[in-house]
Amino acid sequence: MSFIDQFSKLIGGLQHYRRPEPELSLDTGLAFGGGAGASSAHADAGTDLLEGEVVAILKEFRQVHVRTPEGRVLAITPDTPGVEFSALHRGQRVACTVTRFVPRVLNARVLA
Amino acid sequence: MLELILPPHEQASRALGSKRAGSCPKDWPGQYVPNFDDWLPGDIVLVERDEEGTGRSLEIGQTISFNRLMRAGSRWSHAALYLGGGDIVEAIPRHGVVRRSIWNHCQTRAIRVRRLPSPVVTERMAQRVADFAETFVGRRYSLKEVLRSKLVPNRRPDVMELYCSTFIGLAVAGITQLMLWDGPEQLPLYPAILAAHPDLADVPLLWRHL
Repeated sequence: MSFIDQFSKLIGGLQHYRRPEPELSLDTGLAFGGGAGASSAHADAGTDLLEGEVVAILKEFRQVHVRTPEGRVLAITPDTPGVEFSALHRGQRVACTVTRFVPRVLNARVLA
Repeated sequence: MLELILPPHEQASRALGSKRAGSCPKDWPGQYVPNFDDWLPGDIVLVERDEEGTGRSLEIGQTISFNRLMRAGSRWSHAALYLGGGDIVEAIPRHGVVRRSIWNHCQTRAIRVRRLPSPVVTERMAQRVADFAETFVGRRYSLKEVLRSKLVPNRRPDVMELYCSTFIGLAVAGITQLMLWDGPEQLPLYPAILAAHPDLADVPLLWRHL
């Protein structure tokens, strides 16, 4: 019996706990490797790789909007790893790794 | 749960009296105070429609919408961001973006508090959202944009023309990269959408008599 099992028996209220799966972040439940410098050749568990076009540049609001062919709009900010925010321009094509559960861009890269 | 969001003047006879004392902001003008200790800077405060024409017409528009999310949150007609100390920052007609006490709303109208998804948005990020939003104090409010977004379905907001909920959406996206209107179902980004948004969590609200 593990320490956590003993602890849950002791407090009585804990019905179930889940061990983190290997390579999953405890904080977000997302796989490691989605951050800056990661290969975007495929989407990791819990994320999608979406391609789209820059449709609005809102420097004052610290964001660039990217529209995907499915009609979704994503936000890239100066904090988004993988792209130089100030170099983005309208019409540019970018690929974004986006969390599936709460749609948030983890990283992006400009497509040739 | 619905009782917990009634404004203090309505729930006075059945005062909920939080067991936790909690703190009260300095110069708080009301006789009742909500559980500010449980609120965090960056929380979204939704306000029930007022009795004036604009509030009622917005509620009717949201109620008869084809959009499921819009109908689900139709009673909420205004949105603001919590800054701390009982203050909010909001975009309102005639005044633009202002910082003021939440008491201006909650003394007569029901409120609801919703939180950005944790742990995707950390407490520190939410604080940055609040700080960022405050930098826009003084900016103009656009009633025209409200009407345009109503008349043209699925129209993307003109971000240079702010109203209450697009202001929040932009402040959140600018810091967290989280788009509250990433799909057509969340357009136009009205307060009702924020009220029914599946990615936001409710913060339980309690009032206490001072």
